[in-house]
Amino acid sequence: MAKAGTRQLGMRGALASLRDRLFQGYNMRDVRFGWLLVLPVTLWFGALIVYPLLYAFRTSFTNLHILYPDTTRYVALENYWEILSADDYFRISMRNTFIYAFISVALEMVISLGIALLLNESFKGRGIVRSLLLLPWAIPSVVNAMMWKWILHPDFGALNGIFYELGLIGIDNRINFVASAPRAIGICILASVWKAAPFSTLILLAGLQTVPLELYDAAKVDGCGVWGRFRNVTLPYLRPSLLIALVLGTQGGILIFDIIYIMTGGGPGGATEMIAYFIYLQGFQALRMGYACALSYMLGIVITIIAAIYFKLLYTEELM
Amino acid sequence: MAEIAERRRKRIRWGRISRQILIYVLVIVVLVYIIAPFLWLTISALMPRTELLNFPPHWIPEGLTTDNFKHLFIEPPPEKVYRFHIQITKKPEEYIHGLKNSVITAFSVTILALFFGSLGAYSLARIRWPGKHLYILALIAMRMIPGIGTVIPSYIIFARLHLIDTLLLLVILETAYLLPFSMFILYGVFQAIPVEIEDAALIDGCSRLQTMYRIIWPLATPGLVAAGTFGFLGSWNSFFTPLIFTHMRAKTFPVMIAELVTMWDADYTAVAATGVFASILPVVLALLFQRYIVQGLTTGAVKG
Repeated sequence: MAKAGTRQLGMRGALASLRDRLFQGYNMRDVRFGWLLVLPVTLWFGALIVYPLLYAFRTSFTNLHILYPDTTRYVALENYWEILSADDYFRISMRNTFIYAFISVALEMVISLGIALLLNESFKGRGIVRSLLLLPWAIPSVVNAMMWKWILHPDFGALNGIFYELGLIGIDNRINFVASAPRAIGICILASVWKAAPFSTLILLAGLQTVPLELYDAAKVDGCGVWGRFRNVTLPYLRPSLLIALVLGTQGGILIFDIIYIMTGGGPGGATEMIAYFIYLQGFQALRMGYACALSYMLGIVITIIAAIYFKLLYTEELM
Repeated sequence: MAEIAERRRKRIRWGRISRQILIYVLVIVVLVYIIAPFLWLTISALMPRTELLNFPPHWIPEGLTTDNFKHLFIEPPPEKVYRFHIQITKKPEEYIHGLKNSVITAFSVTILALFFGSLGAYSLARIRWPGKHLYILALIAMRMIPGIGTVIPSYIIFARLHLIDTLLLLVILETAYLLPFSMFILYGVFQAIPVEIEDAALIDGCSRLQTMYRIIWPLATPGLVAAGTFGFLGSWNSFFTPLIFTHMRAKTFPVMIAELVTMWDADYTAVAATGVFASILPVVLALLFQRYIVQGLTTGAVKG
């Protein structure tokens, strides 16, 4: 009946009935006020996030080069085809990023879980130690990278100094940490884990506080050991926090830029060239903006897939 | 019997004490891990250049000096560092200019993100309107968008508008990138405030707007402080956005720090001094508002 009615009233009538259905049960004054309040931020997002993304999508089908804007033309899927079939550097930087992100996120999780469990115990000065966790999080990422570059300096660095004092190396064979590929990736991991792990620790500590203490006693009565209590009591309650720490850590790991820009510059020989840095080089050094836009859409697809996998693996009802 | 029980009690007590000792040892290890790198940077910043470039390092410096900081802002250093005939030592005017840019940007971004963010967050937390859930989902999605993806098209767009290298552009961009996060924190904060207080005010004849700034904002102060600190730190520490969108006039302090290093080497006295200097404000803010931050972080993060 309703369908027949809309057909009779025509286009305008259909819209009116759609509007009625949409706003059914809503107070129109409230709705207008609510929309008014989100209007400024919506315009902001629209102009500076959504519009640029759409613009990038269009640009990714052109060969826009910032120095030769006159030669810009539509190239259909050429950029994407080049990325997938011909660009060795893309493949290498993707591989580097995955190696780096996997190791650093794994280390981050182990370290932050360890520290969180430790700081969940009671001891004197716990509050102070917990607030000191904010130190690595608060310092600028540029300073973090510079600090590690200085600590790992091949001639005057503190790490070489410690190795020397421990008698591990002589004064003449100080280690050059950026000279070999594994070491260069290692120092990037070291620097990023130092900054990111305390932050995940805070998230996990908050998760640990949601565990009801009675359950530990109950588990003890049921004959659970330390590991059993961790597996059956702590871990289920920690799941949401773990998922958040994991998602944030992975995102930060895949998008690593500052540390690479300052500590290694992608070297030695492209060993630490990660995907965000590679896109930056394509866009702002080679000035191939069209190609860089296509690259960032590929990166977006990869991130979406990873996020989907995480949610599939770890999502539970009580999370939201 | 009594003897066995006594021995057992002793063993338990010893177990407890050794467990306690183990905890303290591990805590010290964690403390060293967290503090030592930054402590070393601070010590390095207080060393004269001649002492800094030594191997093995002088763990406890013989001469402490504040000259490195003086050479940043008051008088130029006597010796300049060159790499391939390019001077990488900067003049005090440059540092002061960069610092001014950083301060202006960080304050503007914080205020804009707080103001518009809390308006939007209030609407999301309290007012019923169709499409709200979709909006929240879009907000979460926006937090996941990689910066590099929006930065390249934005550069093309704003180069056409001749806005590159202006503080105005830097401020509106940083605000846009921070808003999803601050809105999310504030959304959680507003949701945690009981609706009853507000309803009472509404019945007493307050308008929606009045309840917002008379009731909600005062009650949400901790949350606003947390979101404000996040905004300030996010903008003050930001490197990627100013690196791309500023060249000379609007260059910020972190970008200047990054310029002290070339691929091969760096001016390490200046690196240490600028690094410590740039960290003071965020570290003090973080420690000052730590309770609010951890609260805001967990409501914002756990909901996200």
